[in-house]
Amino acid sequence: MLTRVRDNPVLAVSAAAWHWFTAFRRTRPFWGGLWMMLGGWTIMSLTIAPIVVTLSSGASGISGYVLGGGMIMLGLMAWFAPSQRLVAGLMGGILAVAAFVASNLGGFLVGTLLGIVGAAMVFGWGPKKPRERAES
Amino acid sequence: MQETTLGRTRWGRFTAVTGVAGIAMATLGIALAQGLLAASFNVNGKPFQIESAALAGDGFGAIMDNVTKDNADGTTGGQAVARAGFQTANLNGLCAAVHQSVLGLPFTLKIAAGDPTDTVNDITAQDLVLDGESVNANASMNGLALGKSADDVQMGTSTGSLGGTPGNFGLQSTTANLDGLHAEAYAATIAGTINLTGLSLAIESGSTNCTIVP
Repeated sequence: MLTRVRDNPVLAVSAAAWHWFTAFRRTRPFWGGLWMMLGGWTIMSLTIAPIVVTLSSGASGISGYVLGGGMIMLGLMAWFAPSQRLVAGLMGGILAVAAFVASNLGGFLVGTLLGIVGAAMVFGWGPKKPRERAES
Repeated sequence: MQETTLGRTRWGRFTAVTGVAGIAMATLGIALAQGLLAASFNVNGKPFQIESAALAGDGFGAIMDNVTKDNADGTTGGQAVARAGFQTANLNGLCAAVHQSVLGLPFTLKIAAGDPTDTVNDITAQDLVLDGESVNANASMNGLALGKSADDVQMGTSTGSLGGTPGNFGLQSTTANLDGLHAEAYAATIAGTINLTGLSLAIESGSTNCTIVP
């Protein structure tokens, strides 16, 4: 089985990619960040409009970009700066709740709920077996 | 090195944050439902349905315009719409149905507020603008000016503009009363605020419609 994987270049590349992806997922709050980004996108995508329309509608037009875009940014922050996960998690949770009032009931509830779950998962993420790490 | 540490989600912390956020959301939801807090809406490009038993508006303006809409296959296209704006609108009951699909499964999000069965206009919205593919209602208007150039149409004394193209058809009136409003809308903006007394949110499977207007 292993030799066959090594012989087939397509399989070898995809196996390597999957291996890299697994390592990527396990070393950062991947799922929490993903839910946060999806929630942010849900909130932002509802308000996407030509920039003239957005500006003329004032604060309610901008808030979708600020809150949804902020959640996407914090999700990326959770991925690429996992050491900042507490900040990303707390800020993401606050933005998700704020979007409930400020932007279409938080992307018609879906965005806010995804955002809260994602932010809590990012906040709750931590190193495996903290006791072992403390000893070493 | 912390950046490459293997990790996992600690569900205790997860529960703590979800709990706090859930309490905050419940508090806000109650405040919205009691009309203490005003919600803000700005939806673009997704078709949805709005119904109200009656609408009494001040500073009404309407123009013909074009918007971009999302098609089912992911592309975008132009759609001719009637854009109707109110400086203030008092509604007797409100129902909005948004049809969405997740992973191919259709579901409907229904937002209802107020009581459409009485004659009290219990919802107040400021600077409400609707882009409708179709707007059906029995209307009566005062101080009507027909055939204005679309870019000249004003919503009463509001500073907000409807953003029309010069030369397109437009009309405006000082007051407008609409009975049995049913609109298939592509965009709705409430630049001001809306008080949602008796707010209820429901997610239903399949594509269902509002039932205020028979």
